[in-house]
Amino acid sequence: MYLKMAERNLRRHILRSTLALLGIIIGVMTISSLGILGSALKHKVLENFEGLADFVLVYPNPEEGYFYFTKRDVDSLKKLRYTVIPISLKTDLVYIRGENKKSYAKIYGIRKDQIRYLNLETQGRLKDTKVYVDSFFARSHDLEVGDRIVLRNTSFRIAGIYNSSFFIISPNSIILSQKTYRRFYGDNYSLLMVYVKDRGEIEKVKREIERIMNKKERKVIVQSMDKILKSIGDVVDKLSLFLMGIGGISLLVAGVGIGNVMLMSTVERTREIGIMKSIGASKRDILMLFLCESLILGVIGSVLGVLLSLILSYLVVHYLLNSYITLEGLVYSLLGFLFGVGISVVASLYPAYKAANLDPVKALKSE
Amino acid sequence: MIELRNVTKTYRVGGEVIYALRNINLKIESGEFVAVMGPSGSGKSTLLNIMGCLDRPDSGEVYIDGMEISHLEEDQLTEIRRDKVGFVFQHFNLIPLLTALENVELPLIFKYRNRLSEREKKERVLRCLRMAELDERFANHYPNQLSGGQQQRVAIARALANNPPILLCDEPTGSLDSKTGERILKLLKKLNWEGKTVVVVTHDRSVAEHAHRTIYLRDGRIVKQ
Repeated sequence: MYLKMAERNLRRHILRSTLALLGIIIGVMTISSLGILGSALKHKVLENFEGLADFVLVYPNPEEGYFYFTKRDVDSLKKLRYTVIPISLKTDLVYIRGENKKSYAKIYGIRKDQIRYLNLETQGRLKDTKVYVDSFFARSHDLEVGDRIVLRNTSFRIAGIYNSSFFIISPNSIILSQKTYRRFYGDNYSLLMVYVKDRGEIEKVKREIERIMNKKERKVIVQSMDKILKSIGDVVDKLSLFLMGIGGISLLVAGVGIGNVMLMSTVERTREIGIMKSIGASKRDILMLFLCESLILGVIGSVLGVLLSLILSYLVVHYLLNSYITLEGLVYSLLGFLFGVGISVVASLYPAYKAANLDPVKALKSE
Repeated sequence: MIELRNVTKTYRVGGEVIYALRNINLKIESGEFVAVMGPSGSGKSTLLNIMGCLDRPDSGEVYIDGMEISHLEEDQLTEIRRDKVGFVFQHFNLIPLLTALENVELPLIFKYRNRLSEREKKERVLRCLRMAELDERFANHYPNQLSGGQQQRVAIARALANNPPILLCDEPTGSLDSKTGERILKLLKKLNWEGKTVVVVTHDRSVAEHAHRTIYLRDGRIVKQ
């Protein structure tokens, strides 16, 4: 009954109710969309680096005059009983066959059996006579899988094209098997990746590496991605929290709108409230009637806001970020919904209280 | 049924204290039909509001059905008003958003909340509409689709909804033409005949002619009974 009357009261001033509703919709939509987008963005950013979180990266320290690791360095790291993935790097001139074009590219050497650790998602298998090329390099030279390139007077067929990830393998690069690399450029390594399956051991492994490698001088720089990942996540979190704060403010404004609508409604309906009191309505009845009205506005507005934000963020996340909506993002939708309903109810507390406490005699006299 | 002892009620308008009622002593027995007359500003409506627990006196005692009410909390007053009193107003005071049926249903909802089944509620509403002699055809009409007389019948049916022993009417014929007013008065007389205690505040001398007795008020005092 409260709901029925509340609904009719809202319909009586449909334009005013719609405007109040619009405020809630926009506020909830902002919070929910920004929450979803923020967490999708974080997910997307972290996804790019996620594969790296299991590795400890060991670089030679150029400040002490070290630019490359040798076979001996690799062997000494192997004492740790963790998988060591040595990666070699040189820059060299590449000829694109048939077109007589040449271009500089970064040449990586990685062991064939270890290439899977990089998650390159290439189709063909790397062989000593074949190479992988980076998608940037392939695009700029119009290369496809099966085409040939020439390096150091040797022709290689392209076995696969990968997306470079900046951190380990840069764009504009080519990957050779380590054996082929060694044949051209010798036994040198510019990065040693140590695979640590259990992330809890990363700190321990880092200390061990320092102990083994940096005996007399600081020969190596040891890094792990877990901390970097965490700070990237934190930055994105803070950014989306800030944006959601703006959404919160717009919702607060919407709350003021609802409060205003309800307050006008109490003034207009003073006489009606008097009538209801004279036929036996208690304070609580009047209070409930008003709260129901704003509850209806709050729930409808919040539901629509969440639905719109889901549609909007699906479009953005799917087509722009090329990612998907995360569960964490949906939590923000729920939060937006609750906040929307909560604000509506809180905003109407005072008008409802005022209506409930009207003096029936005065209320009946008013026009 | 209703008894007022030394009831005084004042209002403040600006800095001035205005006596709406001064030392009123009044007793209305169960089953009476009483008219209250007097010029405007004489305190008629205030008297009715106090009898109907809408208002509290500044001093004095008010007994409704043997219970002293001037010291009760607002919620308790609401309950007494709901159970003992039905109000009928000059301007009908129906809720425009609700149909005739729903208007009559409203007091039932305030009293019983969800304890009455839909069927029971509807039966009681229709019984009240019959008692107020309104054709069932109009049950689903909204107030603005009804004539003044019909609206007043709905209002009377609403006053009867919780079967109160007392009907308090504030100028019930004031907004009606004389012929319709006469019919409404006949209805009130019939209800009085059936056992309701009826108090009618009016300007209209012909209304008073239907009453068992008439109380005349002037400047907040009873001048003639």
